[in-house]
Amino acid sequence: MSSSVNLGDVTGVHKNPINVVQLLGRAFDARPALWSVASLALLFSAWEIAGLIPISIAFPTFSATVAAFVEMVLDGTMAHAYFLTLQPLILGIAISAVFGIVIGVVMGLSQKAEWLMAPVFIVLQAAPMAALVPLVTFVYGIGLTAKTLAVIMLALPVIVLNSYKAVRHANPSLIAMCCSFQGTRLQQIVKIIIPDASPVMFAGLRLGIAAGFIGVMLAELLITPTGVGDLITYHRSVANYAHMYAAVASIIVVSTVTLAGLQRFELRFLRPEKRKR
Amino acid sequence: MPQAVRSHVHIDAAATSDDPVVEVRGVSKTYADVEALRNIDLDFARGKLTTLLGPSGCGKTTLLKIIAGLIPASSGEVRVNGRVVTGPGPERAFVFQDFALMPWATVMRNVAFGLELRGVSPAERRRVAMQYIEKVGLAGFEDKYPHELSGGMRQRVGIARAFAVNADVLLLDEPFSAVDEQNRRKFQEDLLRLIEIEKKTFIFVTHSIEEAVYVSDRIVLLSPRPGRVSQVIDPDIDRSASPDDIRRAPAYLDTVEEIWDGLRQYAD
Amino acid sequence: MYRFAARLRAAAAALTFGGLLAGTPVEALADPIRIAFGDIATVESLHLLIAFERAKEKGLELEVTYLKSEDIAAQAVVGGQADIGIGAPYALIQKVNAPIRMFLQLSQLRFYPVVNSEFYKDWKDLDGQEIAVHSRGSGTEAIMQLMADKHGITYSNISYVPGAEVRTGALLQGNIKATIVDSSGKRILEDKAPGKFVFLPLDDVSATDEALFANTAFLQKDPQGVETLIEAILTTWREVEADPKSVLVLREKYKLLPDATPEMVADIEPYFTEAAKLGLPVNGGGEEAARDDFEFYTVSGALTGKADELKVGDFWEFGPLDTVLAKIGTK
Repeated sequence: MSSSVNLGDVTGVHKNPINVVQLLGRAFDARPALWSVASLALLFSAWEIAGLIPISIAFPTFSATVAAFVEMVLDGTMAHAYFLTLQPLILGIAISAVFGIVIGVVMGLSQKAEWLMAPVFIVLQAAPMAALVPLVTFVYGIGLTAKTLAVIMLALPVIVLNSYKAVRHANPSLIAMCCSFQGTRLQQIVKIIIPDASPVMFAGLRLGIAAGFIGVMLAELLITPTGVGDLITYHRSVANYAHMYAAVASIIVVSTVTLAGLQRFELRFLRPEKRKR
Repeated sequence: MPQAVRSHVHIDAAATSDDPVVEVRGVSKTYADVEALRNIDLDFARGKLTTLLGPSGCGKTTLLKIIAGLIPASSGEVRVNGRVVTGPGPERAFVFQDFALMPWATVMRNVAFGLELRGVSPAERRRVAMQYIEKVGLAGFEDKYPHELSGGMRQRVGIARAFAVNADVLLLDEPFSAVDEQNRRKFQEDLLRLIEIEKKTFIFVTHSIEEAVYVSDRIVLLSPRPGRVSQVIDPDIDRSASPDDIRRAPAYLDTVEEIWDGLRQYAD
Repeated sequence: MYRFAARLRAAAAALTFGGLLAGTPVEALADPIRIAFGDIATVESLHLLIAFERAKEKGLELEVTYLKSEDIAAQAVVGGQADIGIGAPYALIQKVNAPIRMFLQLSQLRFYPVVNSEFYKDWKDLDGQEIAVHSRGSGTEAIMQLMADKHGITYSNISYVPGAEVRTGALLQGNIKATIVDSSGKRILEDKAPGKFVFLPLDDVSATDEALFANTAFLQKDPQGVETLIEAILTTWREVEADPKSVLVLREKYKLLPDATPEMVADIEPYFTEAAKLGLPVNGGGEEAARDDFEFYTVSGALTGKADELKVGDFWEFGPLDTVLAKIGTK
């Protein structure tokens, strides 16, 4: 673990202070990733200390949380929980991404579509979705459909509105350029507007996925406890706070990793000019 | 085809020219309440470089975009090779003030973009684009992206793109305004050399008097609010001389002074 | 100018000092007892609301808040935002050593395993079948698990459907075939589809559904208040057990649950008649009830370890209850 490595370095300071400090400095210069490791180590140390005080009887230490996490990974409950949680999440995000981008692009291109749909999505985005999620159960019950719908309700508006704004704000100079070389409307859309809009559309997709994670957690906490939501609910109800925090932290980690991965994917495949050479 | 059409064009040619490729007849443009252009009549001679010069707000870019077919005139008409302009056409190519390069595409793809839109095969458009990349002095940069180039180099990409579609008329909207002074002079010299080779008609918008005099066969001075033709000047400059000699020649300096006198009244 | 500045400083000092005073628990004695419910008030808590009114008549100041879940009510009591909570926080006390103790049993788990008669008739038929319960680790799951163990059967799957009314509805719609409902669900099933559902026999399962609990510090600080409250509750319980219909009258008298729908009002009498028939904890539970809970909650998973090794004193504080029982006697 990273923190133990740093601890080793720190104890070395007493023997030969200057060298070790210089060595550390050089290491940090050479590998900027060490800063992230150091910041995480700091966060986790603070967590550990806060858990030891403790700031609340329901707040476990970092080490207890990690132990609980390892335990749940080893006995398979974590894998099973994610198997259940990822179903509505992936389904909902896939549907939101496809429909969201299509609807957003159409709204960006057509004034009529904008008039027709923009208010709906603006209202949906502004609405406190957590309050609406329970309503879904009245219509769609408590199964996968309702949970997928909860994900869509949160993810779709932000994806639609970002795609729409991206298309609407496509660089007018590039559009004029395409016109001046007699590009057809279709060429204009495919070759100029969508590539130009893609960074903002991707930002929308990232926000949508983040919202989708919120949606699936809301669904699993408010509709019926399944998957990760069940781990959180159950361990809270029996006061296994380390396990509860491990489940909460795991979904944060999964969400962060997913978003970072998406950013990498975008840079790697869609924005060749942003890639480092 | 242009020959056949041209035969019935010269009906009411007001401003005369031996062989006008672009004719502007009574063009006015009004934006909401603002009158940008009033009753412009102009001919642009084939194979010549004509500059539209004037202070900001004189509508010179508007006129250029009307000729390009990018914006419609409120009244009057523009003919290119005798045909009334209703939109952009293959006989005209535009060079944008802000370059209008696709940031996600390489120099090669940007230069070949006009050909790509026309459905030219990849191999052919690569060949043509390469030829113009070399001509504008960007050989070796074809796989770079716009953000890796300087402002001057980016505009060379824009010019190569306009050349690549082999249009009769090139419309340049303040192409050097975003280029620093040092590169600007070099650029102007390169442009003159290209004009020499390519034998095309150029319509050039600028607000720099020196630039206009240095590169133009004819200078059209526009007055502001609303834009009208105030003066047409044909500088009599020996282009065969070296760039430095041209910039020191009395004819050059006199013309600059003459235009400055004409525009002084509009200076703030 | 100088005078003005001085006056301003004085004013600021007074404000600050006043703020500090307000922040200190000077008026602690006049503070009402804050009670945290883990759910909204329903017909089923009507008798408790009546008891609260009676305690108020005895001069007790009560302030009742309704929280989202029992769990949050327990956290509020631990954190000092509430004095008394309602629930059965065994896990919280055992796992994290929370400084809270239960002091009065309010109700016992009353649930009814029920199956759709088209598919099943008794416990044996449920072997290898799917059932639905409230949530993981809940009393409903523990009851179903206890009965499965007793009859030597295993379920193929247990699905979690929170809310007895939701499970009742799903049973009527045919979405689930075997589950466990509360007494109001039982009445709805008997009402809407007489004979269609079979209620499976349940052996004597005795466990606390809800109890009053408080911070140990509070129990020491205000024993009189706690005793007044216990007395009000036990006398009300005894009255309701003797005459369930009295709840209706007392609801009118104290103007409780004014927004109740006609269906809810219609449910009051049958609910309390049934509750009285099964018996209310008119002696407040006590040691024996705690022992029963240990048996039950070690099975449900809320408590870990062996039931007979758990100490009642770690979970319950019977001092105030004993005082009250000494005064009003046991029944």
